[in-house]
Formats: sequence, structure tokens, C-alpha cells
Amino acid sequence: MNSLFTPENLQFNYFVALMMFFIGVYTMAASRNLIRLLIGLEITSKGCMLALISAGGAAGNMPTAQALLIIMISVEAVVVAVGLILIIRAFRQQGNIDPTKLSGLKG
Amino acid sequence: MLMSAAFFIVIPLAAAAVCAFFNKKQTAPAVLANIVLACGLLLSLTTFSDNLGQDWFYGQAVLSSFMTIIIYLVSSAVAFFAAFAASTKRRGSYFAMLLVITAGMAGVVNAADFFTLYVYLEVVSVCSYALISFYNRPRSTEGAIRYFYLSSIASAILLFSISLLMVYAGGTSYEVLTAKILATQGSPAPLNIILGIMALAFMIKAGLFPFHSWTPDAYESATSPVSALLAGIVTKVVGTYALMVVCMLLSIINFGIANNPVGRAVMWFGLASIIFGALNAQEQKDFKRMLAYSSISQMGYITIAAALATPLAMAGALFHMFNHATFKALLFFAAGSVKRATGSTEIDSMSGLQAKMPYTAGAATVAMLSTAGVPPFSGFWSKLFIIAALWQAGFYGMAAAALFASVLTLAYFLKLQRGMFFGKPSDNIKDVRERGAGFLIPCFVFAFIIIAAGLYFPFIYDNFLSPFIRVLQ
Amino acid sequence: MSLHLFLVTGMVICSLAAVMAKRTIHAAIFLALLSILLAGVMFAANAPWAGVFELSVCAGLITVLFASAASMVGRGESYAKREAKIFRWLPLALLVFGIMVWWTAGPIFAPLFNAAAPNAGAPALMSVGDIIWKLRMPDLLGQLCIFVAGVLTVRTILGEGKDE
Repeated sequence: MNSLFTPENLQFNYFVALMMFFIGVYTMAASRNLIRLLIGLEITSKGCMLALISAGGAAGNMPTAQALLIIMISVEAVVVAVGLILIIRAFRQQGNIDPTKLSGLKG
Repeated sequence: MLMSAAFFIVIPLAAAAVCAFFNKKQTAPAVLANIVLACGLLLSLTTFSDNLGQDWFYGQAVLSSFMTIIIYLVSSAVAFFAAFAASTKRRGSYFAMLLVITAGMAGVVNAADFFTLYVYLEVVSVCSYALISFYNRPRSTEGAIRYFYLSSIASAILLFSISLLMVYAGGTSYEVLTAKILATQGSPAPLNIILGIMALAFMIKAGLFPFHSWTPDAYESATSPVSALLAGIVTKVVGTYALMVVCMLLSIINFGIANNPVGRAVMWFGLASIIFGALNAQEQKDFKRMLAYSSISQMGYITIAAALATPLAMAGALFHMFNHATFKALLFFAAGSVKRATGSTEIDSMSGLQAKMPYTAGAATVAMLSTAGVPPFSGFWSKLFIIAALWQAGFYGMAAAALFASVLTLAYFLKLQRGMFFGKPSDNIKDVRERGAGFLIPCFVFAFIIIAAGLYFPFIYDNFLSPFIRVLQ
Repeated sequence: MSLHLFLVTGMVICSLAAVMAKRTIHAAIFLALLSILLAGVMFAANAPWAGVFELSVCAGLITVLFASAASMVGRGESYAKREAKIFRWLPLALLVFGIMVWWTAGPIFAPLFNAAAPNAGAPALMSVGDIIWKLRMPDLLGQLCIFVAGVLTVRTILGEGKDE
């Protein structure tokens, strides 16, 4: 069953994970909608999950990789919920979710 | 993780769950949080020597135990200060959050596995977002959102490097990693790549120079007890402590500085932060913002020493971490007192506070002199260690730059002193009075620690730093 | 091989579609699709428990959270036009990045992947549950901490208005 993770596939999986990382970071740099920024963040973390599962396959240690993934998924859910709540609060306070138009703390 | 370390996590967590039920009560949560954190401080001091046996790699146990002491010291002082300074109807939530963040930080420093480190980093981050945006103000929500995005990118990078570590070493714990290091001596390239990516993540979390944009916003927009906690300990634990661990591993991999490319690169980031923070602090008009830039600068000192990773530099980094926790927390407490007394922290809006608030001003002066590295305060010794270590290792230019930045630190604090505390009292602070004992006691305790650690430095050296230097050699 | 290729290519396409979608709600749906594909990778890689969690939490719960947030905010659409202009360049940028990574990062990471040690220190006979309960106790404790922190955060931020 582990034929899915030959060494060539491992490199390809990491390549895909890096591509997803790039998509996420591009979104976070370019988008002007806080929710879309959060979606970009989710895509980067999905890339990390793909990397982690390939790592488990490559190291022949799939049970540990599964354990890490399960914990990571639940941590991720809490983080996303907190992020969305912060966004909703910002929207209630200022009426928009454009990161460049928030109250204007100087950088 | 050791059993004794689990106490530092479980007990605050249980206390937090209790606190959360007394949301509307004013005194009960504050009293509970203070008792728990003070007991934790005592426990961490008494168990310091017991924990030294369990070492995953050289010096890690001393580092963890020492960091646990600093965490509980700052958290208990902040809880005491907040008991008087935090005016909210939701004190149960506030103190519960303080307890959970303390538990999270204790988890970070006691973790023996990079994935555990990640989980606890997220605990600390979630609590930080909530504490920064605790009051319903637009500015603090924005500070929290900026922190959220940068910190989450850093977490993703960290996870990516954890997965690479798993490919290479077959596991994520320090134990597996050190075994792998011993097994593959002589070919450090793969581990340098992995730990380099990790170092990047921790530099973002620490708010070093190119990644600093969230720190001034977050520190300025949070309330003073929270700023003291964030600047004093949270960013140290989530960023600099983890960076120290990575740098120690890097120096083990590369046998010292001679061929340590990642360590060299991190040193340049540290140097850039020192200079950038010190220069920007000169320009600031707001007390808390100036303190935030000062924090970036001091963080640079710790980073440069940690990346150098000679025993002397490591001891300097550890002691500077302790000193920074005390003096920066004190300065933020002073800022909180000033804010409460006058309603503002703008430097130009007042002068002559010394006459009206002599004790706060005195304690703040001690902290500023310690930050600038003036003898005999404790900050002098740690900066001396760091600069001496740089000089010893042959980085003369960096040592000179660090010394120069220390003079810059003195310059901006003198400017602050002249503008805010010295001189004739301005009209708008006519009826300002010194705050009560609750505001002053934490300031005095920290001022006492700064002076005592400076004067009795040999005691600190013998008991805390020399075991550290010994295991590193 | 072909199944693997289908799944991971689908993941890249789904993430592109998610960030380039005009409406936030569509983006959330593409994100859910991405999660389903990732769950497929997990099932195929013999990691069924992680796949179940991915399906139920990421594809289910997080999508619901995104959808409800998008409907609460409801004004994300007004920026769509300006955004579409920036995101039109994303596939091209991705292509350039991909070619660069393929030629540069490949050689850098090759020693790392070649040195991969199968079964190094792996408690291979333990089941997932055993590993979580016996070896990953600190992580579980941390998970408990983060749940408490999350509940407190939700209560603090959504609970009350101004109280200064």
C-alpha cells in the first residue's frame, strides 16, 4: 500500500507542498480581504500536512505521522476559529475587512 | 517532558478552568491566579537543581529550568499588577487567560520534542491574540490581527521544517535528533538546512528586524500588564528561547563557529535588529512605542549571542533574557502607572513627573540604566558577557556595533527622562498623585532584583550561570 | 502512480481555484474540496484515522466556520474586482516559481531526501491510539490547553461589548 510513497513521489510531494506554500503566501501578500488571507493561510497549512504525511511514509513511521496529523488538525481548527472571530470583530468595529484600511497604526 | 514539568502546566490549567467560572467576580479570580503563580515560582526555584540530570542535549535542562523560573517570576508580577490595574467586568476570563498563557509558556520551555513545541507555541499565540484584543478597541483588534497572520506564517514554516526533520531523522524529538547527529557526524548539510528553516520561523515569531512590524502595534495597543507580559516574556519564549535551542543544536552539529553558516546568518539578523531598534526608538513620541523598539534592540543582543553559541555567549544570552524580562516588565509597569495617573503616554505632552510620582520615576530610572548597560546594574553584566564573547570569537566589528548601540540606548532613555520625568511639572499634571501600593510593589520588587543581581553578580554566576557554562564546555 | 498524480495535482488546482474565486463562499467550498483530496491522499497512504479527522474537521467544521463568517461579513464582494486583477497573475507567478524550485531546490534537498532513514527508531508495532496515549501525552495536554484557550477567547471576544 505504501507504494504511493516511493522516493520520486516524495520529492514530487514536497514540490507540491512548496507550490501550495507559494500560493498561500502570495494570497497573504496580495489580497485585501482578511477572510481570503485566512484561506491562504489554510492552504499553506494544508501544504504542511501533505509534507508531513509524505514524511511519515518516507520514514516508514506512518502511525506517528498520523498521531501528529490528528493533533495538528485539531490545533488548526482552534486557530482558524480564533482568527475568524478576530476578523468578525474588526468588521463590527470598522465596517470593513480590508487590511490596508483598518484604523491605521503606523508601521 | 518530565513529570515535574507537567505540574507547571497542569496546575495553572486547572486554576484557569476554576477562574473561568467566576467571570463576574472581582477579587476571587485575582486572588486565585496570584496564589497559583506565586506557588509556581516557589516550586520552580526549589526544583531548579533537581531537574539538571535530564539533559536531551548539552545545556538544555539548565536552559529549561532557568526559563521556567523567569516565566513564573514575570507572570506572577504581572498577575499582581493586573489585580490592581485591570479594570474590567470580565476578570475571570482575564486571569484565566493569564494562567493558560503561563501554562503554555511552561510547556514550550519544557518540551522535549519539536512538535510539542509547536503545539504549545500555538497555545501561547491564541492566548496572546485574546489578551491583546481583550478590550473592545479598533487599534488592539488590528494589532492582534497583524500578530495573528505573521505568527501563523511562522507556525506553517516551522511545521514544514518539522516534516523535513521527520524525513531525515525519522522522528521529531530532541532525543532522535541528537542520536542522528551522533550517527552522521561530518555531514552537517541536511541538518543545517532543516534547522535554518526552523530558525527563520523563530526569528519571525521573535519579531527581529525584517519581521518586526507587528511588535510596536501589539505592545502599544495592548494594556500595560499585557504589554509587560508580551515584551517581558512571551516573545522571548516563543521566539528567542526556541532560537537558542536551535542555535545550540547548530553549534553541536558544526563543532563551534568555524563552519556554522546558519549561525552566521542569524547573527547578522541580530545585529540588524540591534541597530534598527535603537535608531528607531530615538524617533518615537510615545513611551510604550519607544519601549517596543527598545525591545527589538535588546532581542537582537540575545539573538546575536545565541547564534554565536560559545559557552560565554550562551551564558550572556541567558542572563540577558532574565535581565530583559525584569527591566522591560518594570518599564511597562511604569508606563501603566503613568497612563493611569495622567491618561496618556505621549512623551511631549507632559514633563516633571518626577516631582509628582517619585517612586515610579525612581524605579523606571533604575530599569533604564540597566537596559543601557550602566554598572552596577544587572544589565551591565549580561552586555559585558555578550560583547566579550563577540570579541573573543573574533567578531570585532559586531562587538563595536553592539557597544555603540548600547550608547544609543542610553541616549534615547536620557531623552525620555528629560522629556517626561525631569524638569518642572507641566500644568496638565497638577493634580497627579503617586499610584497605590499595588502599582508600586511589582516595580520595587523588580528594581530590587535588578540592583541585587548587579551587586551580587558572583552569587548568580555561581548558582545559575556556571552550571550552564560547565555543561556547554 | 496515476492516483497519486491525480490527487496532488488536484490539490494544486483546488488551491488556485480557492484563492481566485470571486466570492468568499466559493473559496470556502474549494477549500473543502482541497481537504477532501488531502483526505484521499491520507487514505491512500494508509493513514485512515488522519483521513477521517481531515474529512470531519477540515472539510466539515472549518468550511462551516468560513461560510458563516463570510455571511456575517457579507461585504467581501466589493473588493473582488480589484483583487481579480492581482490574482490574474498568480498562475504565471506559480509557474515561474515552480520552474525555479524544480531547478534550484531539487539539488539542495536531494542529500536530505537521499539520506532518509526508513524505520529509524520507529515503534512500528504500535497503533495510532497507543502512540497518542503513550508517547504523545505532552501534546495531548497541549491540546487540552489550546481548547481551554479557544473557549476563553471566544467567550471574551464575542461575549461582551465595551466595558472600560
